[in-house]
Formats: sequence, structure tokens, C-alpha cells
Amino acid sequence: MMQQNDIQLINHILTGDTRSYSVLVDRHKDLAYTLAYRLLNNREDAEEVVQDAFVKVYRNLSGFRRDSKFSTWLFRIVYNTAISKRRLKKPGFHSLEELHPLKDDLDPWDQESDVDEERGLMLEKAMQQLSEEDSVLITLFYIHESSVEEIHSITGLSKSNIKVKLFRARKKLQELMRLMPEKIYI
Amino acid sequence: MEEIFEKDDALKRLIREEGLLSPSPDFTARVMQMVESVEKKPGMVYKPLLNRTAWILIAAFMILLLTAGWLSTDDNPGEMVYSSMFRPAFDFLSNLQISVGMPTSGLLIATIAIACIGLLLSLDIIISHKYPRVTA
Repeated sequence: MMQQNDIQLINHILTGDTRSYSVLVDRHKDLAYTLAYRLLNNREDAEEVVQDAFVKVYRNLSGFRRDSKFSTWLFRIVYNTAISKRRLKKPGFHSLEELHPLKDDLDPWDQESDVDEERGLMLEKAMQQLSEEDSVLITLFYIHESSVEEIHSITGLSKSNIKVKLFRARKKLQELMRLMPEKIYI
Repeated sequence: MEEIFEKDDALKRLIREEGLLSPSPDFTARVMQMVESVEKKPGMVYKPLLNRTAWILIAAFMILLLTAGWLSTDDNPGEMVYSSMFRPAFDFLSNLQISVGMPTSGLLIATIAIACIGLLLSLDIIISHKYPRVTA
């Protein structure tokens, strides 16, 4: 249904209805941004990458071959743009956010605050323990519910490598989550 | 394997609920602003130096030249002008046994006309691509 809607929107855009593109942007911006953030660990860079990717996609919309989901195509462009951005960044330079991504001086496991907020912080901390690539795989697998085939299309990693990485990343996340208080990780 | 993923559903639920991040609230508006500026931005597109009318005039002139060449004969007084101007350089044409029903002088004029048009067209394309004109 979602895929059909994306295609319908693309058809509208290609006939000159530029405003329909904002619906596509709204629909996919969060996951696109999450993927870029997982690779770059910096909010400004992630936002810039996703913005560039959406403009690239718009420019090349007529070239979208429709043999895959629109989201798969978009995320491939986001992934490649983020990888290029990461390569361009000067080695050794880290923003404050990268150095202290989640206020490391605080241990969220010990916080007695709002449960929802805590859950988010704890998950974020656990995701930071994974490599950038692994956290992208986890995001695609659990949130986008991508198949191994789709993840292969987006990241260019071999299918066997994806399976191994996913297995290890899930195992590591499970171990990290076991340390969470039960009220949070039910 | 089952042991490892015994809590997979819980993990999945947690990631789906808490793992999605959002860009700044004005993100879509900024993307749309960029998209609209891309649309309005003048493109550097190929536009021929000569417009359609110029090409029609050139084609008409070429047809006129060809017709003139076709109709010209060796005893045509005008032939003397052409022959004194071009024949020394294009003598090879008279040796060609081309049976197109066109006198040698006509063939010469046609060749020159085609070569000139080809040269003009090539220059037009090369210059237009090297120094493209901006269109709105």
C-alpha cells in the first residue's frame, strides 16, 4: 500500500506537482535521518546529508526504475552520501556531540526519571556500542523491516556478510539490553 | 539461536518505539525550498547559435546553389568565373566518372555548399557546447 502510494506520488510529481514531494519527504525523512545519523554520529552532518539526498532524489526522480521500493532507492542514496561525507571529514576532528554523544558523565541506567525518556537514552547508548555499520543494519532490519536483499541493495554489502553482521549485532544488543532495568526492557 | 533471540520481540519493539530519530521541525520546508530553487534555477542548456529561420534561409540558399549548379553548362558565361576560381584546386573532380547527370561545375558547387554547411553546423555545435547560453 505504502509502495503504491509512493509510486502515485512520484507520478504526480513527474507531471509537475512539486508540492507532492513534501509528502514523500515527510514520509521518509525520519528513517533517512536516523540512517545518516547512525553513520555520522553528528546531527548537523546527518541533516545536511539527508537534505542533499532528497534534492538528488528529486533531480533524478524520472530515472527511478520502479523495480525496487522508493524507500530502498532513497536510503541507498542517503547511505552513499553519508559514506562520502564521512570520508571527507578530516581525520582526528570530532564535534563535541561525537565526543560526548549522550552525556557520558551521566549513567542512564541509574537515572530515576521518565521511563520513556530513559528507554530512548538507554537504547541510544546501546546503539553507540555498535559500529556505525552495524547500527545501520539494525535500524534497517528492525525499523524499516528490510530483507537481507534490500539491505544488500542499500549498503552494497554481501548478503552473507549482512547475515553475519546482523547476527552479531543483535546478540550484542541483547546482551546490552539485559543490563537494563526490567521496567524499561520488557 | 533461540536462546539468543528469546527477547528479540522486546528488542524489536524497543527499537521501533525509541530508535527512530527526527530531523529539525523545519526540515521538510527547507528541502522544499531547495527543490523549488532547483526548479527555478536557470539551466545551462544547449541552444543553437543559429535559430530555425537562419537554418531555413541557409537550406534555401543551398538548394538554390545546387539548382544553379545543376542547370549550369560548360558554355555558360558564368562558368568562366567559377572555373578560374576553383578548377585548379579541384581538378580531380573532372576525373571522377560520376554519372549523376550533373555537370562538373555543378558537382563542384554542390560539394563546396555541402562542405560549408557541414563546417557551419560543426562550428555551431562546438561553440554552443563550449559557451552555452543561459535560458530561463
